Amino acid sequence: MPVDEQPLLEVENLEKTFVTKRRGGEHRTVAADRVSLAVRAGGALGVVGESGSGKTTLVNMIMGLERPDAGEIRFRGRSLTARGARFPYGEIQIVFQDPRSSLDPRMTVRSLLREPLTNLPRAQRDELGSEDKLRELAGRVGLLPGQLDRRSHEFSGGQRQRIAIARALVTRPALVVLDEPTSALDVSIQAQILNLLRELQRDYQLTYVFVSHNLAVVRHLCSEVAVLAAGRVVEAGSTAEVFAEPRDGYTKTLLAAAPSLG
Amino acid sequence: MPDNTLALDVQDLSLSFQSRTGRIPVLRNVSIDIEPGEIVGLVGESGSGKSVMSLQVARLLPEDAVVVESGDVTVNGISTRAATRRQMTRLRGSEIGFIFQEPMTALSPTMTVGKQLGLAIRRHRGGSRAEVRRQAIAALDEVRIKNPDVVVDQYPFELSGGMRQRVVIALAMVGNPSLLIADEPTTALDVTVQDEILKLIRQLAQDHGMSVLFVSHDLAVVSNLCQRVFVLYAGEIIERGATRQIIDAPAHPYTQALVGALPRLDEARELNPIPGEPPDPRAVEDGCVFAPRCPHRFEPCDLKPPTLDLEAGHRAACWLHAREEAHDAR
Amino acid sequence: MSATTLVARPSLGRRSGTLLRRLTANRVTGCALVVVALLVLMAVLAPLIAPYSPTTVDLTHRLEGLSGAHPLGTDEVGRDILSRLIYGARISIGVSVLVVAAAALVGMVLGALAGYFRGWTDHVIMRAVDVILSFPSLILAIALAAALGPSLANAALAIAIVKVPVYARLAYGETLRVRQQLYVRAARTYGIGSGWIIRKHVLPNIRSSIIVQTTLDLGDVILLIATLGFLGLGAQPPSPEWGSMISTGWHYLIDQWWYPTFTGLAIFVTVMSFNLLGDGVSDLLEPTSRD
Repeated sequence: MPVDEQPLLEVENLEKTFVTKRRGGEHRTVAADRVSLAVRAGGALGVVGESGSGKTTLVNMIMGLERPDAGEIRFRGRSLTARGARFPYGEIQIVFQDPRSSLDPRMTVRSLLREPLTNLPRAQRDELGSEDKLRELAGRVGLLPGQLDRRSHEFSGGQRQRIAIARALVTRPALVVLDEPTSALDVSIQAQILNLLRELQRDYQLTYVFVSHNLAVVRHLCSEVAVLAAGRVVEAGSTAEVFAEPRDGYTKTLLAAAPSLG
Repeated sequence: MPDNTLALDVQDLSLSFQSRTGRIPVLRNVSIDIEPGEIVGLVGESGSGKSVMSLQVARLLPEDAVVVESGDVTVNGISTRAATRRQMTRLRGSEIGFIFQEPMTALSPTMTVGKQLGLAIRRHRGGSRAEVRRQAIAALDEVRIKNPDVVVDQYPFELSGGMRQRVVIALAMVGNPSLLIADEPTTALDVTVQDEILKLIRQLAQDHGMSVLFVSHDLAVVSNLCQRVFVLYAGEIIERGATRQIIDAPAHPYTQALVGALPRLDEARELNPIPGEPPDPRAVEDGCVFAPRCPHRFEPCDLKPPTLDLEAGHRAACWLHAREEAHDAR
Repeated sequence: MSATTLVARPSLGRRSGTLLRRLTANRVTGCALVVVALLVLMAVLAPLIAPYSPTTVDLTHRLEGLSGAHPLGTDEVGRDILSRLIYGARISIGVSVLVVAAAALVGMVLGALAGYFRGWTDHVIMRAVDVILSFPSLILAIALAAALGPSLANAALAIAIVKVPVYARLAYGETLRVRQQLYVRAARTYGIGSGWIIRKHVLPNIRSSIIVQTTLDLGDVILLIATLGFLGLGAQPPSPEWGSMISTGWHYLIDQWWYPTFTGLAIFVTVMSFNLLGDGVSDLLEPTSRD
C-alpha cells in the first residue's frame, strides 16, 4: 500500500481476555475478540458500544495503557504492540468522559495544559508550552487568557471539557481518541463542544477515534463507524450507510432503541 | 373524590434554599398539572431545578433547608403543604411512587430483593410470609424480570443496571400509587436497556391508570414517552404543551434552541448551540430569565413576560408572541 | 439548582481569612483557639516572661507555698514552679509539633507508596502498619521508650513510631481513591512516570485529610509525652518537662499541694484546648460528599 494511502491507525485482530478468580473457579471475560479497524488521516471513526462491549479496553490498548494478548496496533505503519515498541507520546492523545475526574482539581489550567509536554524533548516542550502558545490554545477552545491561573475546580463541566480538549491538543497530536466526551454534559453544552470538535479537527488536521453509545452524536461527527458488542466488531462502514441500512441484528436493535425526536 | 381531580397539581410554586448567605430562589412560580392516567414530561438541563421540583412533590427535601415562598403542590386533591409528616409518609408509596436515577443507591446492598420488596408489601398490604413472597415474585414478574423466583433471593449487586432499575420500579409500584415520579430513570443505562425501561413505564401507566411525571434533560426520550411536556429553565416554566406542539413548533427561543441543539440520527446537520450557560440562581436579574442568551432579545424583555396562550394547551412565556392575538393566561 | 449537587473538597490555603472567622463562630472552638495561641506565645517567649531560670537551685527556699516572689510556689530544690511550667510548655508543645509533623510526613509517604504501587510494596508496608496498630498506642510507646533508653529524644521517637501507622493508613485509603481518578490515567498516557504522579497528583490531593488528622493528634501526643515523662522514660531531670515534674511532685501532694496540682492543671488545660481546637478545625475541613 503506498504510504499516503496507509491508514493513520490500524488495529488488527486484537485479542484480550480478563481472568478473575472466583469461588468455584475462574471467570473469563472476553474484552476483545479479533477486533480490527482502521482510520485514515483526517478521518473520524465512531466506535459505538454499550457497557460490556469492550470499548474501554480498546481505548486503553490504543493508548498504550494495556497490552493485548494477541494482535497488533499500528500507528503510521509502525507497530505499537511489538516488543520494545515505544509509544509515540504526544502524537496520540485522549479526552475522557468525566470532566470532573479527568482534571486534577488542585492544578491551575496552565499546569494542566503543560502536563502532556513533560515527557517531550526540551526544545519541543519550551516551544509548545510557551505562554503565547498556551494563550492561543486556550482562546481557541473558548477560554479567556485570564483563566489560565484558575484552578480547574472553579469551572463548570462544559468549561472543564474545553480545558481537557485544549490539554489534548497542546502536543499537536495527529490522533485524538475521545472517550464519550459529551455524555456527561447537558444538550446545549454538548452541541457547543461538538461544534468545537468539528472546527478543531479542521484547523489542526486531526484524526478522531470517537467512542460513544450515543448514535446521534456519532452520526453528527463521524463519517465511519464500527459497532462493538461483547468484544467483537459486528458491523463497520460509512456511518450514513450503516445507520440507514444496518445488516447486523444488534445494530438494528441499537438503532431502533435510540431515542430520536419525533 | 370528584372525577376531575388532577393527579398532580403544582400551583404557582416558588421555592428557595436557605443558605448561610441568604435565600437562593430555585423555583419561581412553577405550575404543572397532570390528569389521571397522563404521562407528562418535565424537561430541564442541570441547574434548572427539575430534580428539586420532583423531590418537592414528595416533600423529600430536607425541611430545614427549604423555604416554600408561595404556592402549593396537590397530589390527588391532597395538599402536601398542609399535610403533616405522618400524612406525607402515608402519601408516599400509596399515592406517590418514586424512581431515582441511580438504582444502586435506591436499593439496600445488604438485603435481598425479596426482603426489600417484602418490607414494602407488608407495610401496604400485610400478609403471611408465604403470601408476601408470592406477591414479591408477582411484582417482579410485572416489571418483566425473567426468572422472578430466582431473582427474589438475589442481592442487588448480582443484578445488572437494567434489572436493578426494574426492581426499583417494582418497589415504587407496591403501594399502587396514582402518581409515579421518575427522575432521570434511564440516564445511567445503556440505550437498549433504556428503551425497554421506557416501554415498561408506559405499559404500567396504562395497566394501572397511573399518571407519570417524567423528569429528564433528554428531550428526545421525553418526546418518545410523554403526551405533554413542560420546559423548565432556571427555575421557571417557560413553555408547555402537547409533545407534538413542542417538538414541531417550539415557541420559546430556549425550546427552539434545545430542539436545534440535538443531533439527529437520520442526518448530520448543523447544530446551533446556545451561547453561554444558564444563570447562577443567586444572581438572576429582573426581566426574562433567558434574555441574556436569547438571539431574539428585544426591548420588552427587560420585563418578565407573562405566560401567553398560543393554541389549545400550548403556552409560552415570551414577549415575541405578545404581538399576535394572544390572551393573557392566569 | 440540582438537589444532588455535591460539594468539592475545600482547599486550605485560599480561604484562611474566612477560616479564622468560621473557627471563632463556635464559642468553644474560639476559646480553645485563644488558649492555644496564648500557650504557644508563652512557650515562644519563655525567656522573656519567666521570672526565674527553670534550673536555678535555691535550697533556702525549698517547697515554699504561693507567695509574691513565687506565685506558684517552689519545688523540692527551690526552683520556681511557674518558671518551670513556662519553660515546660516549650518542651510539651514544641516536641509534640515535631513528632506529629515527622509522623505525618513519614506516614503519608509510606501510605502513598503502598497505595499507589500495590503488590508487594502494599503488603510489606501495610502489614507492618497493621502490626503496630494492633498494640494499644500507650503500651507500645512505653515499651519502645523503655527499650531505647530514657531520654526526651527517645520518647519522641517512640511516640512518632506509634503514630506513623495512623497516617500511613489514612494516606493509603486516600491514595486508593486518587489513583482511580481519570487525571492519573491521563498522566500515564503522557508517559509520565510514577514518581512525578505521586509527587504532583497524589500527595497534594491527600494532603488535606492528613492535615486534619494532625490537628486531632497534637493534644494526644502532648499527653503521651507527659505520660512517658511521668514514668521516667522521657525528659530527664533537671529538665522542666511537665510529666517528670509530676512524677517527683505527686509525693508532696498532701503538704505541698501546689507542686503537682498546678503542673497537672497545665497539662490538662493544654491537652484539652488542643483537642477542642483540633475538633473544631476538623469539623470545618471535614470533607463533604465526594463524587
